[in-house]
Amino acid sequence: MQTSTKIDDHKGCIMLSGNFTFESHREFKQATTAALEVPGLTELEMDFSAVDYMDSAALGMLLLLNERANGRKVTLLNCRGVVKAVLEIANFGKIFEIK
Amino acid sequence: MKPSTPRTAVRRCRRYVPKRNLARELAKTVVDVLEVAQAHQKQTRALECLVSTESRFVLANDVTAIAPLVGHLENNLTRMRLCDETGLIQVAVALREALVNAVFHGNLEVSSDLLSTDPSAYDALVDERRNRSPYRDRRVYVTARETRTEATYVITDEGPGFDPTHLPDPLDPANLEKPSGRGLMLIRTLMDEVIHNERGNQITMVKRHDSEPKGDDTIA
Repeated sequence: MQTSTKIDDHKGCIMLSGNFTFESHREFKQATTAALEVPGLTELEMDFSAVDYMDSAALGMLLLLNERANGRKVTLLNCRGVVKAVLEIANFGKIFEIK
Repeated sequence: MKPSTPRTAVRRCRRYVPKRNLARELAKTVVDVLEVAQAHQKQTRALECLVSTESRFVLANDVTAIAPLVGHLENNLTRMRLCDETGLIQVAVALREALVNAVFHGNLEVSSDLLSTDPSAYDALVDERRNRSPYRDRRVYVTARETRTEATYVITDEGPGFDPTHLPDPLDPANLEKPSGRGLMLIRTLMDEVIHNERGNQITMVKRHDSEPKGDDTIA
């Protein structure tokens, strides 16, 4: 998986592309840690428009991100196909805003 | 390739045969193309009569083998016309989760909790165990049986096994934010029937024709 990050004022957006699986943890952690270190950041969007597949380990990574966000809002954007189905099965709508 | 008539074959070949060689090579190329198309048609006809398949695979603890195997099994399902595109995705997700579990949690005995708390230590432990006995000698055995009405996948690892009745329910509000333990939940939701053997090192997953996932889960 690859990531690219845009920071716009208080909002960050991380674009994920490829398969989001247990093999992605290093890339995911690097990108999210860097974004969360930006001073004044209040919201982080994760853009899934270019993600074709995600597994249960990716669900775990999102939960850890939510913990590390420490009250900052994390939004999951453009979820479709397998990604949307997996998030729904895991009931993630109760934890994240999913758009 | 679509069915080829002599006329369409000639039209296709004219695109590929250089003009200066057209007179000499066109006829031979047309014959070649027709032969390939006819062989494809015969294979398609034969596969229309296929009513069941059974295949067995043995995997080393190599995660790069998982995606090609899942792709192959998806093709088998497509041939059986057992489920639509959504069903294919459901089976692919469940197979992938079960195979990853068999390699990492079964054969290599690495906990997903470690991936959550210390990904670098997780990677180091996986690398070390891939090269150390007894872990490196263990294999994952996969049996896939597909018919027109159901597909059954039996995945067995050579690890010590686990007790599936003692896993926390990840949908329980108390566990909702725990980062691990969701692989089996996905499998149970996506497949029609899931059975674990008593030792806990084998999972049997069943997908039935045109059925909604029921999330049934039993222990043999």
